[in-house]
Amino acid sequence: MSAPPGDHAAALAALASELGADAVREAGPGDLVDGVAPFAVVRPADAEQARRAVAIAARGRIALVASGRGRHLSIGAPPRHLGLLLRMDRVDRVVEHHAADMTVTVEAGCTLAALDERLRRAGQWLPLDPPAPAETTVGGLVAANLAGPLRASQGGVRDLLLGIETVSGEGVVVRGGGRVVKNVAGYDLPRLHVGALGSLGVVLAATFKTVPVPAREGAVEVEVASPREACDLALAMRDAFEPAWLELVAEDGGPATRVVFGCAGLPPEVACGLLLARAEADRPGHHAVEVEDAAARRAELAAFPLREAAAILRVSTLPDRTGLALESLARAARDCGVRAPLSAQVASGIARAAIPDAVAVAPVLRALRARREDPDAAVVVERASAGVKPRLVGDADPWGDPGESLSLVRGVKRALDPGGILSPGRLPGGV
Amino acid sequence: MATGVLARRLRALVGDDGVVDADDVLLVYECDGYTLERAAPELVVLPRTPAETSAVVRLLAEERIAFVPRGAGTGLSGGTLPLAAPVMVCTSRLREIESIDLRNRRLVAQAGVVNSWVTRAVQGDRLLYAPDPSSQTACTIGGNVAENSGGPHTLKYGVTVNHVLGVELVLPSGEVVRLGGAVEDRPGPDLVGFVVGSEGTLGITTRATLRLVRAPEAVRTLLAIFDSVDAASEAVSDVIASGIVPAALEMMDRLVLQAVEQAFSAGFPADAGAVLLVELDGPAAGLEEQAEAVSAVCRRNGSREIRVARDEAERALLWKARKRAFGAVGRLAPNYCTQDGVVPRSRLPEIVRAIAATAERHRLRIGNLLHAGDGNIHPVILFDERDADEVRRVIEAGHEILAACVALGGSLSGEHGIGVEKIGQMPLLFSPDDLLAMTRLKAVFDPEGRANPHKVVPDAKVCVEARTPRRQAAM
Amino acid sequence: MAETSRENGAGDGVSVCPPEPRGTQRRFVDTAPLLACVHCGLCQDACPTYVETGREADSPRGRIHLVRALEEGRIEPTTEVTRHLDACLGCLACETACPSGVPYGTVIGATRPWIEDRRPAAVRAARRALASLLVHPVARRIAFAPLRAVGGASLLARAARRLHGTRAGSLLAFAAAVPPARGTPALPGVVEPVGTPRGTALFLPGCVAETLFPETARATVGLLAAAGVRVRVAHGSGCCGALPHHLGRADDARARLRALLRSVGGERVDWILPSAAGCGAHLREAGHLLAEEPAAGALAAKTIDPLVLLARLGLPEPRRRIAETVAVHDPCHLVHGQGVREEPRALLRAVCEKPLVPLRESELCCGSAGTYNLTEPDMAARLLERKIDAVVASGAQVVAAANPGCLVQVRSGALSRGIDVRVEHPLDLLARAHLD
Repeated sequence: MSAPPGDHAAALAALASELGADAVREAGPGDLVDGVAPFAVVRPADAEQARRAVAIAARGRIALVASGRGRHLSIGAPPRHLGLLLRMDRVDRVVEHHAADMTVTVEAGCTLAALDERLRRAGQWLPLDPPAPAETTVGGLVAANLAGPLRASQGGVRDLLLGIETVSGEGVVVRGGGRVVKNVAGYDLPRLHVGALGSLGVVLAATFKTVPVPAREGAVEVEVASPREACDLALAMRDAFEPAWLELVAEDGGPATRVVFGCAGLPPEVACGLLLARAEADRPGHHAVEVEDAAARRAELAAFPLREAAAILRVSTLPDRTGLALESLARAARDCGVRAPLSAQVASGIARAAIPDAVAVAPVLRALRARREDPDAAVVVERASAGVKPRLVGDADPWGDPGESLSLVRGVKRALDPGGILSPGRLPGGV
Repeated sequence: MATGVLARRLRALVGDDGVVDADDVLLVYECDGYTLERAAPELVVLPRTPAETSAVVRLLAEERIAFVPRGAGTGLSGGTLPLAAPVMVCTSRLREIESIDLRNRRLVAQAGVVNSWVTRAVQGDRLLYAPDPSSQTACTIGGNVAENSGGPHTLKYGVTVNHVLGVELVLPSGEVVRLGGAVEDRPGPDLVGFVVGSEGTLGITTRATLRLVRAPEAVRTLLAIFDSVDAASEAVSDVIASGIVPAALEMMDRLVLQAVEQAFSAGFPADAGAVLLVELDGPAAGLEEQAEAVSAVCRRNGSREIRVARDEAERALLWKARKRAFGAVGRLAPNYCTQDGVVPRSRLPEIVRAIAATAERHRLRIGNLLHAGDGNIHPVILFDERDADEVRRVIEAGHEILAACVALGGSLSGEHGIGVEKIGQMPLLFSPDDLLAMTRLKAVFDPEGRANPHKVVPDAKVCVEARTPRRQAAM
Repeated sequence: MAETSRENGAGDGVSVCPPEPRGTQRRFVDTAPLLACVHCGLCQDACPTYVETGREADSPRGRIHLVRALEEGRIEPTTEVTRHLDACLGCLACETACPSGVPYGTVIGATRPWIEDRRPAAVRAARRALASLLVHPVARRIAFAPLRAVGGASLLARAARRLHGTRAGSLLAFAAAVPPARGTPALPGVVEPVGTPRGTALFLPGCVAETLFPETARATVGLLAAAGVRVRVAHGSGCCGALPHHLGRADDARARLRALLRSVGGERVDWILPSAAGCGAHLREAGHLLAEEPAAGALAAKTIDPLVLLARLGLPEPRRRIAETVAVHDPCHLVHGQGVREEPRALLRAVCEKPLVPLRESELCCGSAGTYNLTEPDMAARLLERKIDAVVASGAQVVAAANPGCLVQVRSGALSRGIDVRVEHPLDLLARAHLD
């Protein structure tokens, strides 16, 4: 699919002449995407240049991967081909923030930290807290469907995304949704791009719903004997008071597990929430303590997927099975001779383990999938450090079973990227 | 295949009483809640189970017959109007709530389950299903999924797509795919989000996995009377800016208030320009302070009177004026039709002025009901269907209002959908490239174009001409 | 049927304009109430027959659509069409649900006689026979005599259970559900109240109720006296016309109403109390039904259900309390026909030891609906099954149903399913607590 080297020169020339020489450079060793090397890096100055870059790639049938700051490029399967790395970090304007409308339109290269700084001036925020906000761009947020602890109460990207502007695999600008919070005109293109890893279009800009920053945030924390006990306690706390976030964490791989319960809102709401959560947690044998800086603790927990590790394995399951999922992860790791730090977002049913040893990743993954203790669960390699992915083949594929929607996903891919140049092979099932 | 043969084969699948093929009875299917345009199907089939639904669709696929899905028929944009679709597939007999998982707050409902049954099934456990369209006592989950239905409480809780985790979709080929499910965050693009709101053009949803939310511990409702829509809109902006997200924020303008006053003697001052209905909910702690803060904002913006409901009965009384407003306005003229458009909420005063100008230009009376918190407007245009010229002006005025919404950065529909009603105006909102992408995506699910043809995305083949707007149901 | 594919250009020539009426206006019904229907569909799920079949033509909106098409001459009253109109229970749950105030009862009431006139002669004769059987005192007594002789017999109930699901089974269960004749003494002409009279009421013992439920009639009069009402009993007032009205026999219905008016019209009373909810709903419409008679309006204005009057006046402290768990079924003619929902509950709450048990779909018709269980037995049986399912799910020991038709229907359903639930009139329950 990728063009022969001869065409690379032609594409480079076209890029340089249309975008300016300073927007294009040859790729170096730091530009690998999951171990696959592009021949050039394009860094458009604005959305129109980005569109033109994709159009040139489309003409030359050159595969490309879009990236912001490259912080989350290890999500997904390695690209099947790669010609260009499209760095979107200069396309980073906050196009408009209508505080009164509680919407913001922002370009793909803007980092979440920069966006947050801008929104907070009006007392608002985009309540998504993935790891490393200073190195995470809006494009990456959408493409990789990133989220953090706040997802428990605020929903994910799909719940906050109102509109999107993308470049299709044919170099054409395609927009969907709009700038209003309620809109049912036409097919929902924005949500299609959530989690699509840029394979259905390069995100140029996105419009989100914003919300007021809560007046106060508070949290309590308690350690219990096992992940399952932690999960049960967390759900009991949830039933006592609706949390803003609800995390489990076992830094040294368990069995002792900490439940961290966060709530946000007006001061009396938060006080009431903390009181009720503590009342639930204070059982014989353990004692809940109030967290000093709740927002900082939340950021710390959010950073789990980016910790130093060979790979982050993720199990998606039902909320009341997250404890079980953590125990399965711990056991599989132990059986392979490693201790894996564990973390879970109970309300969303997400359990993660950080596998420290590159050799252990594939065996742990195989063991989990073979055991199938939870038939509804999806076990995936969320991220992996350089060199690990090539080992993840066959039944240790990063994504696992692509499910019965595979043929539809293939069709959608063909509809929006007929030439197959956008992030080829990155999605489940090699799409 | 002859209709008789098809009817016989369908009866073998769904039972004798599951097929309607008598012409005079088929007449009742000629429109849904949108009555401006009418067309009856040649045959209606009512499967009893999801499996029967796929068997029916498979048979239609073999015979290459186009179909239109239908739930309770409460839609307001003509989404279930059969256009070049001889067969209507009704999901009204798929009425089972298949499973309830209280701990994980999930519920699996078949397509024909009525929206309000879901909440009824779990309210004893202090949970609810958040989307609450005004037709919630009749409309079905399948229809809600197709239209991505909203309701007065979407400001805080979101719309249908925010509460659907999975769907089982019968593709036009008859093949069944399960997208999403009880487990969130599956890898890959969000096809569930894409199917929700696709107006039955990608296939028939037979089951949906719904997310339940905790019922609010406490509710405060207050009603503030203003001199003008501008003042009330300022209050809306200030409430939002104060960091409070009300569960509902509804506005009614002068004409509507006068109608309500005339019909129910609600006690609104004769010269009141707008009324704002604000509902706050959540934990009891802090709710009183929020109500105080909202009252203060309203007073600061010139509200001359604020009524606060002290109990459930008083709350019902405050909502009564809002919920019966369409009926009240309908009594002012022989006919009325309701538009549905959206603007960014800060542009509400502008769109209300634009609507007033349109009304004057076309010599029409138009009242406004607004989901002010979402910027979702429902202008109610009064007319007499026996006056052909007035009817023409009503249609023109409707188009002008939607064009004004788009010009202000808004959208053609906040909750009624595109259906046949607004398909001609889609190019106002989307470029040919956007529409081409949508057309191609439809073809992925429905390569032969047999699922609810000629809806959502305009094509050259159909020219829908509205002739007589009749009294139309309102949201 | 036109096959559809992309090749043959399915969309060509699509016409979606409203078809012009084929015929001329027939003028059997006012167009105003038909136009008031905005086709919103909010009535759908309140309608028992739609809930059962899911077919639009079995819903209020669908029926209004059919009536309008009949009125406009677009369709003919074929068997197919009348089947759906006949299936209407007349429960008026749709009126309760309608946001636009469509007077559905008026629409269907005006349509029924028109259809009746267009039925095949044999069908018409059979329906007329049924109507006169039920309203004629002698015929009625003869017809129900065998039922009353064996009423409640356990043997009958057992047989009904064995035949559950068959037509014979339902008939046996129906027979078993009818209260046995106990030789209840006739009511006196006047009953004086306890203490100072608070007003005078005229009690209409009615036709079916008088024949089958004489004890309930006694209970009514006794309770009213306890509440301070002087009660005069209108012996021989006969049928108010509600039953023939149901069967589309408009002239017969009007004649009976006129006769009732003549026999009671001159009475100087504060309230007029029907003995069945169906009669009450009918009498409250008397002003419209006999628009030419001013006395009809006065009769309608004074008509009040005994439960409402008792709730309004209040009863003294009960002598004893009811220990069983009670659930309340809402008869259509009470809840939808007259908007009465709270009063029976308030009265029962005051005499029950335990809180009332919620009954799922308490406002959905049980299938009795006047003569409906006789004319539309299949649908009646489906609705009864549904009602009994709800009763079983509620776990109540007693179901209170304030209408003779519902009493017999629900009781027969409980008998044929063999469940241990008693079905009683709330007035009988109240009498147990207050009288004796």
